[in-house]
Amino acid sequence: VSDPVEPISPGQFYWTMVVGVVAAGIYLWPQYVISQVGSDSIVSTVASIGVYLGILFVQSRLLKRTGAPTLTGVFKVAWGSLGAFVWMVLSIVMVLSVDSVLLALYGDLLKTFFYSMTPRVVMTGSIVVVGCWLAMRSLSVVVRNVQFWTPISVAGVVLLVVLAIPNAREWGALRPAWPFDWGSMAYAGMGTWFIFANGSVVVGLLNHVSWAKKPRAGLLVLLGGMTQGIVVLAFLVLVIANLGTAPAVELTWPIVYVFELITLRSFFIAGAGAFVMLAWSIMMVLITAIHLSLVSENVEFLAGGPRRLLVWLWGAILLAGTVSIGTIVDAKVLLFDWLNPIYLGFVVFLVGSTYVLILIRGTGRSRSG
Amino acid sequence: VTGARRAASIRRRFVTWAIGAMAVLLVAGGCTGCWDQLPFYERALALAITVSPTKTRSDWHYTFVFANPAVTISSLGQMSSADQLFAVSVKAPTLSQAVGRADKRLSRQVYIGQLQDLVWSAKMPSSAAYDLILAYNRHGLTAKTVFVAVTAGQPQDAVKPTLQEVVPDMFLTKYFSCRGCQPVTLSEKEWELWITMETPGVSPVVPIMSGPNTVDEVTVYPNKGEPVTFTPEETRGWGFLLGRVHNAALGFGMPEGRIAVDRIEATVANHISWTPTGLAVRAEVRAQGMVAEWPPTMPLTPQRIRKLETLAARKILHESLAAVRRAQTTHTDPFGYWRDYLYQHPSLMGQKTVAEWDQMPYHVHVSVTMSLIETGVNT
Repeated sequence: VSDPVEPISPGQFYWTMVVGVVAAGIYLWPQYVISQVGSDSIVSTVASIGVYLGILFVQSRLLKRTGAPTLTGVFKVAWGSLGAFVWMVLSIVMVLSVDSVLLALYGDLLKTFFYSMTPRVVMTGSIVVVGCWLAMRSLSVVVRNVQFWTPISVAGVVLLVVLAIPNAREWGALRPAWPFDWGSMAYAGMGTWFIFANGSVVVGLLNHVSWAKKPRAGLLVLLGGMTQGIVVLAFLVLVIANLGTAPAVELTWPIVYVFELITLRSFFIAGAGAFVMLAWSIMMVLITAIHLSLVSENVEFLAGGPRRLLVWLWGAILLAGTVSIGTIVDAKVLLFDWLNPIYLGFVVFLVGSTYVLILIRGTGRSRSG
Repeated sequence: VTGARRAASIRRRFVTWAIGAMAVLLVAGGCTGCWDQLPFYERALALAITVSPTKTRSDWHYTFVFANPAVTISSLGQMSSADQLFAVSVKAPTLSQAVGRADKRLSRQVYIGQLQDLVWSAKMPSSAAYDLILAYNRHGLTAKTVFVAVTAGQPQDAVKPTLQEVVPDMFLTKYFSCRGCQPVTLSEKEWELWITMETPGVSPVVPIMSGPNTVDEVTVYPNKGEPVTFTPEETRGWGFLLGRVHNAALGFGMPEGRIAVDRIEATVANHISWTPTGLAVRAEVRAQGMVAEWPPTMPLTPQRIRKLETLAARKILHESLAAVRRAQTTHTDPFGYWRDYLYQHPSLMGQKTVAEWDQMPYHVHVSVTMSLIETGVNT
């Protein structure tokens, strides 16, 4: 089956990578890490950003070497059609499970703060419906929306972060403690994967990028990954410097708590943090649209099928996953104790073994540049 | 034939468009959540909550203070400041139950998301104050930026509106949000207090009103027992050791006459190390100020200014040491020295409870550097 590769610009690719950091469960960040390693959270997070950039870099090399339009295409070169099918199905299961947990938690967040009498499914359902509606359009429509909304949301979030800085009092908690507890550090590092998972999915769009000048795929991917890393670190520093390590662990939504503390009395605004909800909701819709669109594209690449209809099918599966998740506590246990380590292990194994296979076989045409 | 086909095509397009529009409307309607709203007239916006003990040990007096809805720009002129507020008092064991009872009393839903002040009686023991703050912090959508204070008198007397405001501002809110008005920054917001309570190695500190419209002391809450009130001098010493002095004034006598130093600002650098008998802290206070008043017979030569600096530094040192002594004799740590040490050694944190860490011993060696400049015309 031939797949018409829709071109996107390097900027659109960049923003599609960055969207994940705001949407992919930043509202859960960084409680788990702090609960594991306290003052060493920054060291641990920097290490996990390093691992993430490593994965991204290998993925970008694979895509460049094979010239495949999707990640499934890369698997096909290395593992053959059957192997690619198995890996694709497993990847889709991973992506949709993490997405449904994050969406369910976002629904819980909205329910807690705004719509106490509304069933969660109304919130998650609205996001999935709008996401599907966007995803069934062509890829260029999706990324154009991403390119428009993401900078606005990121700018809004940056403004709130700046406004929250005067509340920071616990600077002492930021200094890393020595010696490190390596076991807890490893757990804490795994606990960040849900935020970065989106990047390892979106990177599959790399061969869609049409370069006006000399192609710099590796640089672009690392730039996107580093932007995510900087935002994640900024939020971590903000929470620790605002709350210290012990209270941050007590809160269900530490980031929301930090934003609630912003007051601008002169503008009659108390609780400026409510603005972040607007940005987050838009980002949730966009990340849902991107993931559904990419899942459909990968399936279409291997097996064909009616794209528009399939998007709604994936959306329905995502929503069903969301509905099946119980309370906030259930969702957190599922995410941190099961999905994060399994997903990260899966990605590391798959990317590593695929790279080795391609090197051994010497297959894949090398593209210049 | 072509006409019919065109008509069918237009109809199809219209149907597609109509379905799309309906879907958008449905989603938009779903997103409004208008069923979650509560009309204004079914709500009562509390501006302050005060808590004081009752005769029974399990119940507390909760007073909710509301802005009188009749306060508008046009009615302000005819209203005395006492009429701007109305209050509802209930007796209840917990904050949530108190809110529920106030709901019934008012036949409106009490909303505390816009609260300004939370004031409780100095007669409440530490454990009750802890419970109150924990309950408040967990009580749904409460404003975490509310100012907290303790009062020696009746808490209800502590919440009074300031005049000239359309939406009444409480006195405490006005005072605490004015940085220049407080010689030592005493203001504490609810979230800051909650964080100190949850963090091991630091005792919570709350400003206390000693009289009407006077806040110049703090009260330290140990985890158990009675709160400890610092004198104004000790409070200032505590402020110097935390770098919270922004606009203080000092006065002292010299053989030539009285000297006044104002606009004193201070920063502090701590060096903390562990010893078997407790933490050894070296606190270096750096203060600067302006010589405001001095006797006309005394010209301000550089030597004289050096002399004044030494005297002022000695006074600051004296106050700081008084604060340290007071904290040490009451086994509290309002300075958070153990907290700073624990941040560097997080593996120790789990070895003791928060209450135990807050009582750990420490020794403080204070050194003060004062730099003075003279202002005005040297006459």
